[in-house]
Amino acid sequence: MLDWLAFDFVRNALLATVLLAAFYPLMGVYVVGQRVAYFGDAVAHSAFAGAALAAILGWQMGAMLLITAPLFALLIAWFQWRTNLPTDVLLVVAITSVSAAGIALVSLLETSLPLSALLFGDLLAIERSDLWRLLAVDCLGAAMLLGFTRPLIRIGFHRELAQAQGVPVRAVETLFLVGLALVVAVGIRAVGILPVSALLVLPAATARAISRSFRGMLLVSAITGWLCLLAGFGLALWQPIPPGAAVALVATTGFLLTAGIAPLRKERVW
Amino acid sequence: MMNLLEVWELGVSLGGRWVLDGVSLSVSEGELVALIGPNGAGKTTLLRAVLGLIPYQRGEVRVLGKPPTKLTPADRARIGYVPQALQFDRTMPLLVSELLQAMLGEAFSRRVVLQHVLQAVDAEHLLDKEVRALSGGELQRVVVAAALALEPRLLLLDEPATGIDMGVRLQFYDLIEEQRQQRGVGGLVVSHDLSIVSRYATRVVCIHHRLICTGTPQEVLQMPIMEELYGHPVSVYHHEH
Repeated sequence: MLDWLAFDFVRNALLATVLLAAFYPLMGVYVVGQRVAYFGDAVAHSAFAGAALAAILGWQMGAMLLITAPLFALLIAWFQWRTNLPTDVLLVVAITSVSAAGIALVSLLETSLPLSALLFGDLLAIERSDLWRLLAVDCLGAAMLLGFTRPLIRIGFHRELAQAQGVPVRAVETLFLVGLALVVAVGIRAVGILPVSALLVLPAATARAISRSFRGMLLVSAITGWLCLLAGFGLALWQPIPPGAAVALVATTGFLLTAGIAPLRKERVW
Repeated sequence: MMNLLEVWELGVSLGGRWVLDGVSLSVSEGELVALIGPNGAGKTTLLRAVLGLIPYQRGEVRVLGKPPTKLTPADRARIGYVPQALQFDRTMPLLVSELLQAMLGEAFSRRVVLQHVLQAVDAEHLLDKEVRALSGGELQRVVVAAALALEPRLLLLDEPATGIDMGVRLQFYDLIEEQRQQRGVGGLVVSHDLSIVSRYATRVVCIHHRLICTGTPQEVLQMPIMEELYGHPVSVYHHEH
């Protein structure tokens, strides 16, 4: 088995997995706390348009997504402030229009999109540059969470109270959404548009059900994330399932088990 | 005595309707001003405008000598705000100690300090409880404790004791009374409970979109207009400990 490590692409795939597992489940705790899971999903779908643009301009997709995803996040946030459209409606409009735009662009310009890789990721095609981007976003994201934990807890508890107490609510929320967009963007290359949200949200959702404290939730989410990634990639090696989908399946199973058991227990431990 | 809060001829329009129109009031050090009026009179709107959470179209507001938009985070720490019947997220795991640390910062990270903070509202037993397991009254006390911990000069309380039983409610107002007399804290409190108003307020301001009347609790509560506003005779019961 260790012979595989001689291959660059296997090493890169493993490193990408480690970089994802190190940060995604932690970020997910904040995503669940701020109720922006679906927002992250919408941003993931903007990869259709981002990938189309990259194909047209001859850019690397990974680099292009780091630009298009935050821009798209800012656009949604701006619409949210300017209109009083319910968030779910706004996000469905965003998802459908940006996917359609990507598909239309590709068809008109007669380029082609690596659709399967977009939807389910292509872990074995990860390059050195993807790894650097992952590492950079991990570090940036970790710095953001360190700095924003207090304000985000306060906003999540009571937004208006936080605002009255001097938390720059809008600035914190906007920066957090841009951070979320970057985190989603780097993950798409590895696990794809569809499972990226699962990887982000499911460990945190599992942790939420069995934790008492915020710290406990971070810890449980991190452990759950590692377990899901390991089991998921194991499953993908064993059966012909794309790794992204395999991880999402394992994470869902874990979530269903804990969410089903948690209400039965009176005292939570963590 | 310095005016902690001054509101002149305040006008707030929401959705094309003047919710507040020409309302003036002030709170100086050591005063507890009760803001009363029927439901939908604009009491919460006034507090929100004072805090800079919504813009106002007419008049002037000075909080600790500054317009609401010019308040720095340091100023805001000197304003203890307790919103109406806290609607908070009951979905996330969070301990009371973690919430207090997030609200109060590094200086309050030690356990004994947090215990001391909660002691002020007789709630040190809540420190290790989950926020989502607290009752409304318990949560209100935690938020009040956080507000008092920063030694505010001005308290803005929006029906702070709603849903709390009478014994605890009196305890709560005794605490405010103590802060007022010992530290010269000023307060503006929105309350529906006229017995509380008559017992604790130094002055009463009654509004119904406009300023209706102002005076001592005895003066205001005996005015015939009160019956008209509240739609029933206003009777005040005195609660004894």
